[in-house]
Amino acid sequence: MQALTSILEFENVTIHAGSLQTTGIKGVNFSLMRGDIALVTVEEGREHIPLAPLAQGLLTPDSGKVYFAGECWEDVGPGRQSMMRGRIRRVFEHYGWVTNLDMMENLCLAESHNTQRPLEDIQQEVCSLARRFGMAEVPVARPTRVHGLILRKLEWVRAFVGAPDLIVLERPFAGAPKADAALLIEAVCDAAKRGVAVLWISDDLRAFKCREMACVRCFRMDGDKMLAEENNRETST
Amino acid sequence: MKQENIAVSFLVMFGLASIGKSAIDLYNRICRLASISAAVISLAVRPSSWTLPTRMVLARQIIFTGYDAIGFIAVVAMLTGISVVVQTQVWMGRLGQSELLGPLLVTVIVREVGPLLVNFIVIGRSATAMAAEMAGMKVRREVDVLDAQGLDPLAFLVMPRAISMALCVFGLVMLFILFSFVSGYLSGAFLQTGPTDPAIFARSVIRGVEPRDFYNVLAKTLLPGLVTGVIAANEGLSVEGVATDIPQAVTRTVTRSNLAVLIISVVVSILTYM
Repeated sequence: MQALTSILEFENVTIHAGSLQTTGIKGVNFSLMRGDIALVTVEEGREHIPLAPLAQGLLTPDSGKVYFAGECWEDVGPGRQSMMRGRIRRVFEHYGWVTNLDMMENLCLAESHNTQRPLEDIQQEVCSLARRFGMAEVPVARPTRVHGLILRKLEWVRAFVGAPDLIVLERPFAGAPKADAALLIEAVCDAAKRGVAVLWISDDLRAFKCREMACVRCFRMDGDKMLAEENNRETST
Repeated sequence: MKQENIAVSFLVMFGLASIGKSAIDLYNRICRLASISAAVISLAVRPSSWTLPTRMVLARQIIFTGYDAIGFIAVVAMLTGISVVVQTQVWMGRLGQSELLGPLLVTVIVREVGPLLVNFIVIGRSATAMAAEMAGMKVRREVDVLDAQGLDPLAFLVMPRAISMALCVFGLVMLFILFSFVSGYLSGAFLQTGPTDPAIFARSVIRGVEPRDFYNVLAKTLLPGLVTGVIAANEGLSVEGVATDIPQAVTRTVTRSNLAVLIISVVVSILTYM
């Protein structure tokens, strides 16, 4: 029943390490409702944990199921999967840009592809979000010509464009100015109030400021297991 | 003696196994290309596939593959026109068969040389670039980034590029035919090897055109263009995250596209004359 109402649900998900840079997870269970924030803390310097690609149906678990908005990724076709992914925004842990598009095209790409919104409307929202994150304007250059600090903040901008159902943040503070952390936390809290579910994977204690909000649920990666922090209950089986 | 027989049998079996493996590989590759091409066409006829970013990709690819190539195609067409039309005029005149000038020019330029040359130019100029671009995106994990944002790589990367390739090959062949006939007429008139009245030359060419030439040109432009686009995208996206594989993907694109164009051209020619 929960699978029908939750935005994101991991049901006993296990996946083995896929490469040297990616670690596995074992028996992970959790679900996110509208407005929930799940904060998953990992050790600093730890390999990539494939929670985000699993949440987006980009990886198929070795066992268990991942549901998005009540639909299991494995049970729907590629066309439907793309439509579902269009309702998810993500800050990528690694490079997350298309180099042959300029920054504005990159920022508007998902929203203009997955919705019927006019491009001017999306561009205005992008500029407004850029100002919210402390940037006077969006650079007109391609991503390879933009400084890493700015790129990271522009990833934040992209994550909040439109009205997604789920935002996945993979170590969003990595490479970002420390002074701007509060801006992201504030934006995440605002999004949660609008009913957006947020999956936040972080190795930075600044993210813990989010705990001030009642709807934040904290987890900790311990090896390949995910533990709930409040009562130290193990969410991996 | 017995050992020799065993060795011969082994060699024969090994040879047969190699041929069989190559045949199965070729069959699988053709099936894969056919299924991707069918998926591309199926996506292209669906209006919902043509989102704003997809239309932008199509427009950019048409500018690069079609518009930017016009100058080069014009030069090649004019040189081809001068050499083919003038030679045909000279030999037809010597043989006293000047009335066959039109049909012969149509056969050579419209049915064979035009589509083949344009396809080869598009492969060398655009398909290689497309394969390298796709492979670069794959290596930099940009394809995953697109996928993660709800942009199906087949619908966003492959479909508009393959469709634009087909449209551009068709358009460029039309221009090639026009430029080659105009340059051929002008050079023939200047060298006095052919008619000086453009109306006579035009009538001669138009008389040589048959309805089946229309289908022939369509089949030799749209189909190879689409297949070339699909091969380039497929080879590019087949690269597995290593930059050193990019040149190999480009090389495979050139050899396989050229082979596909020649096979399609031969099959269509046979069907045209049947």
